[in-house]
Amino acid sequence: MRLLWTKWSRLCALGIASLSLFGLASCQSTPQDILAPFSPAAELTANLFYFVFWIAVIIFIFVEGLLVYFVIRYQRRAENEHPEQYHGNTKLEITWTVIPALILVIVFFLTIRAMGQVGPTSPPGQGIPVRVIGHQWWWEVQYNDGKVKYATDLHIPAGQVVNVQLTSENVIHSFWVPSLMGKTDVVPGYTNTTWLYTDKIGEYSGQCAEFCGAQHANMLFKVIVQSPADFDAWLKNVQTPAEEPAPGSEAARGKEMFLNPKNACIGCHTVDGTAAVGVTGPNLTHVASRDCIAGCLLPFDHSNVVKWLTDPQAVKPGTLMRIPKLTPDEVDALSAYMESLK
Amino acid sequence: MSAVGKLEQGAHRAGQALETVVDQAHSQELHAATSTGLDHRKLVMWVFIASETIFFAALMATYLVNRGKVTPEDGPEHLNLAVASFNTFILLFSSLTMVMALQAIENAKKRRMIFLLAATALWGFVFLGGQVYEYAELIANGITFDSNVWSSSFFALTGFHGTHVFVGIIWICMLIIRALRGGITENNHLAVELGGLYWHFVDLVWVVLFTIIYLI
Amino acid sequence: MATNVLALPRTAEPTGIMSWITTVDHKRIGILYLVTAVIFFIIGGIEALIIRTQLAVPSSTLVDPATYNQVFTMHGTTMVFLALMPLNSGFGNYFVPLMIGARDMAFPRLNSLGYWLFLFGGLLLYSSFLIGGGAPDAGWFGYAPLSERAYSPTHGIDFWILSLQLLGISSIIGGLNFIVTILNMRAPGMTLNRLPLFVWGTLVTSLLAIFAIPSISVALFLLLFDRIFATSFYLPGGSGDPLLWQHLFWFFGHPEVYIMIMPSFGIISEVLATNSRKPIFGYAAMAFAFAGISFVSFTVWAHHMFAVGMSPLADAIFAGMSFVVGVPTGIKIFNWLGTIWRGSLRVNTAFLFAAGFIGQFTIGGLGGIMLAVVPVDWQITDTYFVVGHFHYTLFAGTVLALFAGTYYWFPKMTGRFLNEKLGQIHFWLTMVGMTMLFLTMHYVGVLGMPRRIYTYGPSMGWDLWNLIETIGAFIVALGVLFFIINLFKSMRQKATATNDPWDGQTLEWATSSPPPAYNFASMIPVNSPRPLWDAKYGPHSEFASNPKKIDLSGGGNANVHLPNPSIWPLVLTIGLVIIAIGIIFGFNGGALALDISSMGMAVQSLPIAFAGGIVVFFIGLVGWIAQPAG
Repeated sequence: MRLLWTKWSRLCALGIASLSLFGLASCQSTPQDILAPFSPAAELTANLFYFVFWIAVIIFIFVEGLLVYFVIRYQRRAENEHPEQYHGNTKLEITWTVIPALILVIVFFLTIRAMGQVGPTSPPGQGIPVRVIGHQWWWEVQYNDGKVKYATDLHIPAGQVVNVQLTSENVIHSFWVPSLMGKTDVVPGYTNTTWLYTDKIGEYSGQCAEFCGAQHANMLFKVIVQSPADFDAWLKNVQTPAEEPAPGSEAARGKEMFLNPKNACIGCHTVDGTAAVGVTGPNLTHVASRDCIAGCLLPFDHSNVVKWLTDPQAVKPGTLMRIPKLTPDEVDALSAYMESLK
Repeated sequence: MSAVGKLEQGAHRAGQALETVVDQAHSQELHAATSTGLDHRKLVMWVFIASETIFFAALMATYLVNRGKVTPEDGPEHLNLAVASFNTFILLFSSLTMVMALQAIENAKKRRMIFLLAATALWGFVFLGGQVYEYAELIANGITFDSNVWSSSFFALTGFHGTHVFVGIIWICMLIIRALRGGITENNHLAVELGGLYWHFVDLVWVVLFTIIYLI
Repeated sequence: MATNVLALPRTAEPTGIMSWITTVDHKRIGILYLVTAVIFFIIGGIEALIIRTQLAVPSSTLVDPATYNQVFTMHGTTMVFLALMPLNSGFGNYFVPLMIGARDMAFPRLNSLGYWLFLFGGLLLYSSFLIGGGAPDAGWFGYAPLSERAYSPTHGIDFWILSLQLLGISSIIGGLNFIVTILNMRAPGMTLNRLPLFVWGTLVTSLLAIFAIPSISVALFLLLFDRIFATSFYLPGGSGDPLLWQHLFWFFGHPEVYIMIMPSFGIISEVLATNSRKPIFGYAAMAFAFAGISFVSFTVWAHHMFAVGMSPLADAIFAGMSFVVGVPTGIKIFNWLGTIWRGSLRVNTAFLFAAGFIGQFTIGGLGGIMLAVVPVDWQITDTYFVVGHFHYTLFAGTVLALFAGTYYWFPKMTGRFLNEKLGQIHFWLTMVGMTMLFLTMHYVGVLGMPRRIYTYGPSMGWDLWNLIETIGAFIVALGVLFFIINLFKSMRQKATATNDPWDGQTLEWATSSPPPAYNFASMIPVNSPRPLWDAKYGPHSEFASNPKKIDLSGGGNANVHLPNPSIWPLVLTIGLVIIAIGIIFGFNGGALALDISSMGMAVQSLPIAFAGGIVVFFIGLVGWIAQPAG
């Protein structure tokens, strides 16, 4: 008996501790919480989750409750105690076969119905086509049939369906922005499609969800939902050629360095309107309009750009961005140029 | 009879059964002391064959999904149906000689069995020769293991099958050696039966392979 | 005099290292499996602690990503193939022949071969750290194209491929042996519907193994060909298909998880029935459930692939079948509750682990049902929800059952009892630590934390939960430490266990503890799944008043012929390992190759080791065949 009183008190302590921790932790922001939906699709999925979750909780409480009760109630009281030798009970066994089966049939039908409503191949309509390309370890986004190339931030207008085409030329990735939609894998050799639709303006956090190598953990992105007017303005801006830095400015010096082949930038990067046409890395024409860099690992600001250009391997070990070691002056100039590319 | 007596009798019989089992573990044959009545080695051969079926099924599935991915000039056109058909006939014939070999020893005709086993091994070699010829033709046309996904699947599937045939030939040779040393008799020829089971399985796999590669 | 923890009380078998190396006795091989697997379990556990320490705080730089990816790959591969499967095999090897009243397994030398392939397969895998340029780092599931040479240029993946092939052969051999043994060597009267449930569990597991492993074997061969012969089975650049890998892998992978759990289901049935002094509730349903789960397990594999872009119809079929498999699983849970209901419960450590299993495995199973709801899966697959789910079924499931089996069967194997006080500490530490560690994972997965990440940012809301999980992991580790201490401490005790300390129901308790080398000198009649119980308490037994009289051990001196020990399985294994090393290093040049590029063939070099290994293999084979079976 002493043993089981301890078990009860331990269980109670655990329960209280967990609840208080939940209380404490709910103050923290959770940008990828699937139960904090910001789109109809995510909301439907969250509701379905809650439905099966509570069924599961009820079943667990039932099983665990019986278990604990039996373990306490039927402890051996005398050494030669021989209980009745029940071999089974057909009626009972049929009951506990049929009832779970019925519950599962219901869950199955709810599953099928929801698949039709939020499935990646069942968009609610045809809207704006966007291409998303998975690289190691950053996300490329393309608009206007590939004429506009951007990275890391996926801008979409509120209230319109966005049809997303997913491709990869390297390994498998998975495109996932939990607040808005379930994930769809990006498989080399296939063109998978998914879609996004929400009317809630805001920024939503996303992340690669299929192990893709050294920096899988830092292959992040954002979905930026804007008003249609703001979206149009943004799209118009990114179609303009790069701003020319003022002659003699630090940014101009930075541009020279950028275009100098010995610094290895133009081998991978493009800046529209210049000689830089590399496509292995992100298009930098409007990099300063982005929220973040380095696969969205670092927010875009001066100190982070400096950090990244000084030693990419230190920021993101294994990154495929390889540049020669630059002096602090050279880094400052390059950063100035990057920051001018709005 | 009292309960004690019954128990004693049961234990005595069980002990006898145990002794019989143990004695027969010495000899090459196990008579009906097993729960199913089948010799351990025969049962294991059947179960092993069941497992190998999945191995070849996975390779065949790979071939089938990759079959439509190349133009005929890149591979399938250069397959030699005549040679493959001949090979099919050879292998089927070898299964016949194998059956006849088993029949021979069941009728105590040991020399005839050895002759038929040698014939089976010979047909196996001819089959492998036919495969080498087919491979050589393909390679001469520039179609090698790594040319394209069809050729890779073709060589992998037929290559694993050929390896199984090769193992079978070695097995038959070992049976012949054993027979020459007196280890196979009309009462003691399970080894020949097991070798036959394996050989027929390999033959059956080829029939399916031939169908999906050359006929469909 | 120091006690050698591996020295068991004297049987008719010789002692000494050579006797262990050449043993073909199923009990010794079982012990070898168990001890080796426990060591790998500890190594896998250390790998887990490295993972948890790295993830305890956000943006940690304790472990760099390259190392982390090797550690989590090795953790998964070790736990699945080198710990859980061999632990199940170890108990199976030791107890299946005893429970069916047989002298040994059907093929004693094949049994030994299975063990050596396991040990050397594991050693080959771990040698990748030293000679492979690093351990494999593409996850235990090795998705292509990441596992291809272009994205994994070191030899780590090659070591992974070859060692898994060796381990696969080992498991198939074990499966064949169990199937023939169980079907062919049962005591008179033991029809299939009178098999103890642990034997049923081992039978269905073995059937799953022989049908599932060939699929991963083919998958691995094709990956190997891609890596060393430049084929493109999984590379879209050459018209290959990464999803081919996934289908071949998961066709194996799903039955594999049932391979890991079904022997455990059997152990739980044994422990609960014995410690309740009742028969298992609904024996027939339990046996049918084993068969049902096995069959359905082959039809659900693509529920691991709901997010890859299959058609909605395919998704629906695999989801439906995944729900179906929940029904026989639920039946087992309810039947276990029925077993302890109105029993006379001996609540010792073995029982605590077995009872704990019931509730904990239910959590794992319910999580699985949630994952089968396809749209929900699209959110929670590839997150820590899945990690929590499978650690519930495998740790809070299989491992709890293995602990239960250890405390239950330790007296039979060694003649000594594991200390109950230490056992209870072990149990409670495990329950608390495991809940903190794995239940929390479900929550942090719902908060959007993907799996297989070496770090995470501080503004995701995952910090507190990861810290709790890490603390839980160390509590679990502490529990394991108590368990290890218990093992060593208990081996130092005197051997006081009688034949039947738990008032058991099955045949292993009818002979001595430990059994003599030949197991039984005589046999009792078998008229139900509980032959010993019937002999002790059945209506025709005159031992009802004094049930301790059943002793079929013959005093340890019965004149029973034992099969000859053999060195050839070890020789064969070494040959295969040398072949493996030759394949890894030889085909593309390098120190172990002979340059044949001037001969104008596609292959540039002939691996010397490959050829040498074949020679050693044949020596082993000839030696084996020449040796009388005995």
